[in-house]
Amino acid sequence: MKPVIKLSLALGCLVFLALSGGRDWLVPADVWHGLWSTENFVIHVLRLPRTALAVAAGLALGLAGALMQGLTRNPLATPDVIGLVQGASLGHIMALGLGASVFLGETVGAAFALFAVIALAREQGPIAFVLYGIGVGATASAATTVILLRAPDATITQMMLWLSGSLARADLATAGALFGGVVCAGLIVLWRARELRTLWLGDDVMIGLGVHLPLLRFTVLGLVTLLTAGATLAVGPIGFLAFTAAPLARAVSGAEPPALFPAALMGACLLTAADLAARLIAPLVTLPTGLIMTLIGAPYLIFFLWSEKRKTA
Amino acid sequence: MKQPLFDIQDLTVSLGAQRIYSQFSARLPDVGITGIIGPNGCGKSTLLRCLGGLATPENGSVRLRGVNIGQLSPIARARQIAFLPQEPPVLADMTVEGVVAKGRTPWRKAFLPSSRADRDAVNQALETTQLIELRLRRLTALSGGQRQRAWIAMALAQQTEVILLDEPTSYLDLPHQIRLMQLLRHLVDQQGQARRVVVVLHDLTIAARFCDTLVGLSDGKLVCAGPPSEVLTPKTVMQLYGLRAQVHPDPVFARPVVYPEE
Repeated sequence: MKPVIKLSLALGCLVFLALSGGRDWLVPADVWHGLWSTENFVIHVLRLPRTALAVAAGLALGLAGALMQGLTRNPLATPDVIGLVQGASLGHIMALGLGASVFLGETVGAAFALFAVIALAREQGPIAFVLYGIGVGATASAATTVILLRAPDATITQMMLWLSGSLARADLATAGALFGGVVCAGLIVLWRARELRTLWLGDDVMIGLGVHLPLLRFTVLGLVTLLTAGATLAVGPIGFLAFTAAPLARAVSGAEPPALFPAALMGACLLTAADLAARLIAPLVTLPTGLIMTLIGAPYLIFFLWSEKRKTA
Repeated sequence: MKQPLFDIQDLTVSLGAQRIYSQFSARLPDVGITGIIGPNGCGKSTLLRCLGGLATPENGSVRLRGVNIGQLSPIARARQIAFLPQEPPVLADMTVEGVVAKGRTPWRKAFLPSSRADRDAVNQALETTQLIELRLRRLTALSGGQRQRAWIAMALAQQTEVILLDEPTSYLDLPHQIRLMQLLRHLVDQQGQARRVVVVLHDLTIAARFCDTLVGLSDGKLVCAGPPSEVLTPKTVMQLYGLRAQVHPDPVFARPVVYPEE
């Protein structure tokens, strides 16, 4: 079976499970009927918006991560590890303070972080890229906190929840908008699939195959910035999702690198599962989904570094 | 004289601050395998990169059968010239077939799945390189010789007239070096195919045995060009490498072999 079909089926099952699960479990028949009757409070108000948003944001972050990893040939260089998500958050807070569009703020923030990392780490190898990224991300996080401290109390509470990556206040309109953005990104990926398929092969091989490298870089970095900004706006800064999605998708489905669509689907699976877990573990308090994602992703980062060390040893 | 395969005129190229070629001109004759030889750092790889359009010269032109390749679009160029660097990077989950299929990049159409022609080209490339049975293997699970064949299969799937290879035999043991050069020979000698290979080589014995033309470079200058038996002489070995040597034909193939006297 094709990797994309495998992962789509898995995502379908997970979405159904996410709609069934929660404080009260629904039987499949109830979920099915609930989907078609807009009066069903549990499905339409409580679970569907969250799940739809988890799917859309997961798709966006999974795709962004796989694009970035492929372009830099660096499994660590994902928007969450190299400071894009943190840059987007800073842009978000600053836009709020200035009364500007938050999406614009996030895009500018993410683009600025990306530009800073690329300019700083120029030709210094993959580790430097990641270290500068961590530095840029930490700076953006600190600046975000400083700005937050000067905000009114109500804003602080609201923003702290957003900053921890929560899907508690999801609505279908946001999910729909983000999903639209993801579909557009997917179409661009299909349009440029010829070139994007050569990601990971390195500059020389790519040029030899007729890839217009500057154009491809611009396309990939543009997509990564917009996808990261959109997803962060919708669900807050979710860590480790973009980082884990692509390698996990390849391991589970056997997809060939760069595995862009499998990575997107895996991102959606992960975030949907993390959100379901957040709701199951603490049904009454709003446990942030981003926290669950970190609980899954951070150990994976440690495992990744450990296995890399064993490979070289 | 027949039209040369590559016509290089007044080429000036720098790598960073270092000037590699200055006003370099050369003609590579239209023969099956052209070997580029010379000491380390003499600009062999840079010349190959210029032929493949990977390095942008500051000045001068490289023409392939009269067409200035600097003026071709990347896709148009990649349909005529395939290039393989010395060590293409490998990711753990790449399969042989997956890598070979990437050779179809310049022929693929946006929004469309791979065509019949794409699949045929991939199968043919796998067959020619004897990788059919290994098609689903991961690249990291292959031996050095098999992996090198997989990259050559990718270049074959590109269906170009010219294939440029940067030291494909380094890191291979002697039998694998011979097998690889035999494969290249087979590619250019095949009936009905007008294929040309330009290859950077270190081993002079291998180069002399399998190449139709040898191009000797030293310090960004053309030292010699022509059939191995004419080019490999004590004089050119001294000019190229600064090494006193005798050159005698080998007893099996009567190809010139360099015997250093130092």
